[in-house]
Amino acid sequence: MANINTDDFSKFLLKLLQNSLPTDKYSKLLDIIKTFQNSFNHMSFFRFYAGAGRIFGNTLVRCESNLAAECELSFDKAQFLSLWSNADMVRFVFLSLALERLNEKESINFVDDIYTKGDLKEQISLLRSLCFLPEAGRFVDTAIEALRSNSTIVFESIACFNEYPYRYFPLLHFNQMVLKIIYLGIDIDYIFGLRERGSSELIRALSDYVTERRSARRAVDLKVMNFLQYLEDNNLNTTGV
Amino acid sequence: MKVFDPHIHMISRTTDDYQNMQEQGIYAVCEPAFWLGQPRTSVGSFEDYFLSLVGWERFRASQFGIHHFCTIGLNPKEANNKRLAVEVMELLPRYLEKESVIGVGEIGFDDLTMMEEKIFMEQISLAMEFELPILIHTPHRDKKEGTSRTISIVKESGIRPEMVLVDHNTEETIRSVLEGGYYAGHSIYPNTKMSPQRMADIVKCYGTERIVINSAADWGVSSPLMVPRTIEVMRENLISDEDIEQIVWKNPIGFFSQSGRLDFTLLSERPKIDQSQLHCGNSILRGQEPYRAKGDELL
Repeated sequence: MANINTDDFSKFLLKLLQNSLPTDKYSKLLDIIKTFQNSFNHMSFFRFYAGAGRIFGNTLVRCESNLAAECELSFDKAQFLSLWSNADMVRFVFLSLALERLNEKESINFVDDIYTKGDLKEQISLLRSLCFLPEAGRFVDTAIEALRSNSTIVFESIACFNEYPYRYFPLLHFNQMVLKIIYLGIDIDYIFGLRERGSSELIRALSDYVTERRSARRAVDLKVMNFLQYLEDNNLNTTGV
Repeated sequence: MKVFDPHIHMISRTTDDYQNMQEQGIYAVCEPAFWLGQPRTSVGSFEDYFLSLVGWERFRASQFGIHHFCTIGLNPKEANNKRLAVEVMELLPRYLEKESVIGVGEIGFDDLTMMEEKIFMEQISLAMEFELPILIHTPHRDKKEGTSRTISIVKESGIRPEMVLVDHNTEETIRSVLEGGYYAGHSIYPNTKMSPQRMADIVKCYGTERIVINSAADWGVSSPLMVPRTIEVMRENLISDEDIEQIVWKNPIGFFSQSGRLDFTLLSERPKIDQSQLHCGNSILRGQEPYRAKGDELL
């Protein structure tokens, strides 16, 4: 799914929003987009990015199969969108417009600023967006910072049903993410590409985890045991890439 | 029995906690600088936090008859913010000079990144320069590996082992920590980390030398009374009061007194409570009659 061009994805989201939003809200969205295109400034961006939930609502958007096909997005692969709200989609559209106007360094700082100073919903929107942004790998430091979040819903937005870690995380951080998911009691099957990123280092970390749990007389999730078994049964390289 | 909780984040706790801690025998606490749940975006937030640790929080504790000390440092989690890390490192020497600062901490690893390692090493050097002990946080995830790397770095630094308290140990890590000659801290939590019973088992197995326990109570689900609770469980497990006192009083004092900033005589008595006192014009009271102790009686 991450191979979709940012512009095409933005247009696709606008179509979904057109179906989802009341007419007056959709017109307002187009007005804001026009304003950004004519005279973009940081403060108005940050205001609209922050206010997107209040203005356009946080209800989930339904993705019809015919619309997904129009974007050359198979319906199966579009399923991740079932987690996206109106505000998530609007924020992606705004962000893609903003990045067109910024150079590489500005873009990295800009995205980091959105994350650092965003409330939980802004952070979630951003993390869901990352994979679809142009040259998405440059935002990896921000994505890694999200792994350290104390908020489970923020952490889940990068760790679960998100292709970004699979594509861009270094081995260390991918493995840390897997361990944190396990510690939080979240289903490891929610991690995109988990098996493909399996590595001998992950086997080592998971084995230590299992030993530690047993020493503490605590149970180990059967899925974790099965996954560890899977990794051990397969010859894995050290990098997990 | 007198208790010194050597790792507790009182800034996140209420006055009821202080009251209960006092009633349960806690005479002194050490509050390590840590992360606040919400990542900080500017160095000013760190500075105000450090000022709270040496100022307002110390005052608040004294109002309940509890001695308050702290360790100052850049926590490993926020060490990953390169820009902030550099700025905070520049602040540290000034705060390490403060009289209630009895160590550098909590420092160490969280995600085991290169940046964490760099800042960890720099802070060990600072501690050696200031002749202060260090309080080391070990990671919750990948703890065995994190502890092993911690020990390698500490060894390489040349800091004397007795100046090092490696915290948050489990059954998996304690042996290597003790064998290295370091103090071994254990954070007792109501549900996770180390339980009182497991701690009692560890004491039965490893004895009391350089063993320390703490509540590590903070803004999360935790309890500031876990040290007194563990004392009860250790007694149920027939561990002698002499051994327990070694763990909950003598060992933490022994460790932090290496800073040269702990007065043992002063510590053995509670701060005299005088709630008529103000700190920067602020009182802990909300309309109550200020309590003034005549002797060393409690509230």
